[in-house]
Amino acid sequence: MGRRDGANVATSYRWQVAARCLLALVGGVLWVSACGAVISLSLARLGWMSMPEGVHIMTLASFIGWCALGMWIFYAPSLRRVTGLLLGSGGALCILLVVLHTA
Amino acid sequence: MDDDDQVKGQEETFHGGFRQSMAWLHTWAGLVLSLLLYFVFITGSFGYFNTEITHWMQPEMPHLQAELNVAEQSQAALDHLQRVAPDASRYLVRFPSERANGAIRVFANLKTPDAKGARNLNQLIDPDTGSPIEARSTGGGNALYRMHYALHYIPYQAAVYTVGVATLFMLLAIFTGIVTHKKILADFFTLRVGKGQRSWLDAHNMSSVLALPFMLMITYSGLVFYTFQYSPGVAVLSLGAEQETFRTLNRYLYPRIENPQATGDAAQMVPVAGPLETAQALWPDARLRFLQINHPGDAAATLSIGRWPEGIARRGEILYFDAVSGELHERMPAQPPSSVFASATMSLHEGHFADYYLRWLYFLSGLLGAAMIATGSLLWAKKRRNQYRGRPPRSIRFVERANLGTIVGLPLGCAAYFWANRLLPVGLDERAAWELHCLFVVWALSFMHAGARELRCAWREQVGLLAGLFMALPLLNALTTDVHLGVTLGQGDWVRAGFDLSALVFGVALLFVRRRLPAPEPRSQPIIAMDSLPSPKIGG
Repeated sequence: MGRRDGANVATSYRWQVAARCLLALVGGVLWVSACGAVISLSLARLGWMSMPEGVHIMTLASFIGWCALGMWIFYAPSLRRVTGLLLGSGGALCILLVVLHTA
Repeated sequence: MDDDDQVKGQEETFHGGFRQSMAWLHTWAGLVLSLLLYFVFITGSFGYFNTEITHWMQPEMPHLQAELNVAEQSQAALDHLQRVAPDASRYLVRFPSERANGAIRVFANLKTPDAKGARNLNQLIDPDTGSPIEARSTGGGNALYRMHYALHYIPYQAAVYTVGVATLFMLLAIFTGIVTHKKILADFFTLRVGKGQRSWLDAHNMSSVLALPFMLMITYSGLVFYTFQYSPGVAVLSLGAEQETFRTLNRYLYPRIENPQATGDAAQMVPVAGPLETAQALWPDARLRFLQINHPGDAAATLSIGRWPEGIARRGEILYFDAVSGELHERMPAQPPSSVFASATMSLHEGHFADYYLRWLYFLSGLLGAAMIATGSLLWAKKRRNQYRGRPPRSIRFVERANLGTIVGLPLGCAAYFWANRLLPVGLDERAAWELHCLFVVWALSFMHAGARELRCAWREQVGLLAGLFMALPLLNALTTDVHLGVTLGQGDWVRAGFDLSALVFGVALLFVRRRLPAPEPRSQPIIAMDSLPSPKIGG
């Protein structure tokens, strides 16, 4: 492997690591929060449990959820796919949140 | 690091199979804040014996063995409080636990600051005489315990968030460590000594697997203490971001009786014997924890009596009385199921329910956790060093020295903390703060020593010093106090004797460790000659 090729691969690798760290730390936290909020609001709407309790349970579960999501973000081979799935599902969760709040 | 080295580094990337990706994540999630986590584990482990350490650090405290007559002693404590702090908004009498030395702690919130400007009165009193016990000022075991989540020298909130991030990384490292392992049971029994990097990996695996349930419990429950601070997102997106929302949420999850405001009308309070009888009738076998009076002497005065929690419950039950009529008002409201779960999780973390056998198991598991982190950091440095034939890059050498400065330096600081307790003048201003300064000064010196000496030599010297400091602690105690082993063993004061004996055992164990450390490398060539060696060609 030539020196220049090595440098290019190294730079690309660094960007991959930085992007996945950012996705896990920012995207992961936001996604898990949105998901937890949708579930707690849904449970409250269905009358299965009170809103504060649903919020508490989903917050307690969010630590495990974040770890699972972080593991997936670093496992998935394609960064583009990870970003797309996170943004897509995150957008859907946001729409659901708005619907649940306004309905 | 040049580009060729970086290319070589990609052999350990997250690209590849599931296990390879998780091994990469395990390494980095564990490594990034590993030394902070080591600090948390060591100081947290001491926290399991905070009461006992405090007892040892206050040699003036008598070894009390009096049977507790709650009614008489509560009244004596309250009489004492009314004498020394007649103008207070709250009195609190805390009865001793089974672990404490038998003294009763009394608090009063003063309406106006006293001559020294203090707004609170906090004293220990002898339950037999009702008179205050004067003991030296010390941080005791609580200072070590508090540092494991609030650190030191930095603002509380910043410390809590820093420890929270480290804990979350640790949880991720544990999960990825579990999925990386192929042979968890085999690792439980495998330790190949004297095989270099392989030995460090075995030690890391063994300490991790041995205490795995403890690690999972302690890490997750550590996050539960600050649930909404560490993960506010769900609550913010569901309920809003206002402070009042969080207060309402907390009141719902952890309900308590709100105290009425003082009326300003004076009233005579009933003797506490009556409410105490009611409490003892409702809880015949319970050990009482505290007695509290809000607005003493006021027509709206309330009296609450609490008991120690049973099992792994975190909150003991509380009875609320009218302090003027003596009538039982309310019992403590029930918690919703999710907060019962959270409380039980936190209780498992704190281990207040544990007897001495289980407490030792907690302590040793905490040390195993610290060993897991330490061996992981050492393994990482060893692995990188092995990639270089000559002198490794400055970053690796820095990590090696930081490892020594933390892994041995922090226990050295803790030993210095105990020595400072005995050597600092008893009347020194801010004595408790100076004990902690000694801890951090010695820790900093350990870093400097690690940087100045040849690495193996520094390891042997610091571990030897640590062994010496712990082994000599009972001797220092004998020279500076009259509660040495000869006395405490005779009195049956097993808390103080246990501390001295434990220090002796740790010292001997560390001496054994020192004997196993590799001898310093013979310096056949000056370092400058090693620097001049060509850089290793890796992965070309």
